[in-house]
Amino acid sequence: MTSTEEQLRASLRRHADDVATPGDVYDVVLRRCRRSRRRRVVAAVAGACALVLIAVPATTSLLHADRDRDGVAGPVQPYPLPPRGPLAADDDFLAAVVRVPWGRGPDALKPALDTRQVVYAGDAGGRRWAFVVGAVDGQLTGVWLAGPAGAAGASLTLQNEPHPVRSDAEVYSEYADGTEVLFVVGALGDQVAVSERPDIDATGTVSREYRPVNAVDGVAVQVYDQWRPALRVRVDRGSTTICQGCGTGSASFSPEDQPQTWTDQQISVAAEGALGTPPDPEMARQVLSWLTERAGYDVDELELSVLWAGPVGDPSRSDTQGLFVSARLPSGALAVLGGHGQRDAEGNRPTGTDLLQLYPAGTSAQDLLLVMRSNFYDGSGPTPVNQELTVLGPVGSASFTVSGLAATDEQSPDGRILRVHPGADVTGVQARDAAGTVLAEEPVGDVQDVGAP
Amino acid sequence: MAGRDDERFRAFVLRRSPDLLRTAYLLTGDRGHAEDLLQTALMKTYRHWERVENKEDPGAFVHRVMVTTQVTTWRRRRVQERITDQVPDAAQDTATPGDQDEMWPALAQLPPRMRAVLVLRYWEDLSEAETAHVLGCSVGTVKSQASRGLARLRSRLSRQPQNTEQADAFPKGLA
Repeated sequence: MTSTEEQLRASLRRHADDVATPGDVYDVVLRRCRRSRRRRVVAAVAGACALVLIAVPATTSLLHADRDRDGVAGPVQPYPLPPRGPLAADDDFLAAVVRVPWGRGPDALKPALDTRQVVYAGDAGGRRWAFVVGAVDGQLTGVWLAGPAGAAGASLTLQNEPHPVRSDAEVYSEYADGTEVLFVVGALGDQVAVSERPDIDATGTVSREYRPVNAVDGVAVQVYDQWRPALRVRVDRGSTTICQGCGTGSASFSPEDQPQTWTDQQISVAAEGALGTPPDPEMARQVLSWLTERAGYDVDELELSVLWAGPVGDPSRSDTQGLFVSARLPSGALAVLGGHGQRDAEGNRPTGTDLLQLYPAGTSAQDLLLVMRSNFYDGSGPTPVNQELTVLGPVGSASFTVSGLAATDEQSPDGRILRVHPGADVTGVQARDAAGTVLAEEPVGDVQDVGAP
Repeated sequence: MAGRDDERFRAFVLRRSPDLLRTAYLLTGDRGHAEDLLQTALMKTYRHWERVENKEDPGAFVHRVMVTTQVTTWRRRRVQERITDQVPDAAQDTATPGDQDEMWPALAQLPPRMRAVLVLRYWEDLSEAETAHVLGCSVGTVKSQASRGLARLRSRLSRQPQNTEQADAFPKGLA
């Protein structure tokens, strides 16, 4: 064993020995489980109120109104449909699964047994599932339960937090052990369509195509052999689309099923020939996560290239790094992303994506003028304490003109890279070659809000 | 969770929580974070009990959840999160008075997954195969993470210049 290994082992042992014995962890864990359930029910209520539905007339609502014209709450109306799914006729199973507790202890949610109903029960993706609803605090609330294939009703366990039952359709997915299962539970006759991920065509245009899937009695079940983070659902009821772009929430996956991402070696190879300094691979992965987690691409589908990495922000902090990366998409279109991250005291580098641009097929990243506006904070409040433009010019760039700066024709201090502190009046950047010919120009907007497609 | 499973989980927590807390502390470097990480990992284990392979001793499952929780939470932060210029007072339990341990702050500089490999190999004394099983990765990944982690520690302890360290950390052109 080397001296470094011996030192490491001794250090770990010394610090571990200093750790005091914990208190009653078991009781703490149970209390946190109960509090977590409570918080998520409250958050789910707020989230349900914020849902945006397309043209939802009252006649398309699955649930009866539970308030009279004066707004007075009446008794919770039961779910209007009988149980559905392959196990809907198994009375013993249904009777057992409605009795599965929704929690433990005095703070657990305990909908009265006579208000509970099984909405759906069946096997999918190698597991057994049930969606059960009940009255909680005057509102119809639902929860998903699951267990191994063939499991008895009583042995199913809760898979998500109890949440208010939506009036349009219940959309739920769960990813575990390499399989993602999607459930869409609507009304009888509902038509369901699924978009597994957005399409970015050769022109760089983003669109979504929804593919009709089989829905039996208004219930659609889809099984995928990998995580589909960009999955979206559309539900049509009669001639009305009652839900489009409905997400499935955060995928739930077990620790051994981490989504695929680029390895350090792949990042390193992609950085060959890049300008600047070697990129922090974890930071690169975070910036690129839009492509895998929002746009749903597999790592193997993309041709990755690091364009530049280097210091940004406060020059006295050498551990703040900015990054431009490009990825050639299967359609030939080019995605360019940029971001920055500042190393914290624990050695981590929290990072976000400041820039996302899509270019048509045939575009070379070497010909592009990239302008990234980044905000920097000091933790004292939500207002950024510093803002910076990071500009990467096309090959041949010798200088830049930044419109709206007091000093124009800024000389690039690092070949093709320019960093400036923009004011409110900065509107655009031009890149020029040594002869002064404009190679490219780009408008400058606000810090980009890079959301989900 | 069924009654018998509940008893097994409770027994496991009572028996293993001291050791698990020590591991969590070595992963995070902070006592408060370690307690939170342990509780979070046990919560997830409790909620996903049916996925635990060895219900008599789900230590491997809990280890994996601790490491992935630590890595995943950090990985999902976004630029709108406030980034402080000041090192939080309790971010890292640095050397106690009279302690000449230079390894501890050097360990704190490692990325979380690399640090986890070293903790599992040199504190938990897991083999490369056992470590790979816990982390859900290949033995080759464990080897490379351990090798590079030790190289970084060695470099920092010998106080190498920054550019040399970066070149060591990001070798290009690996086959």
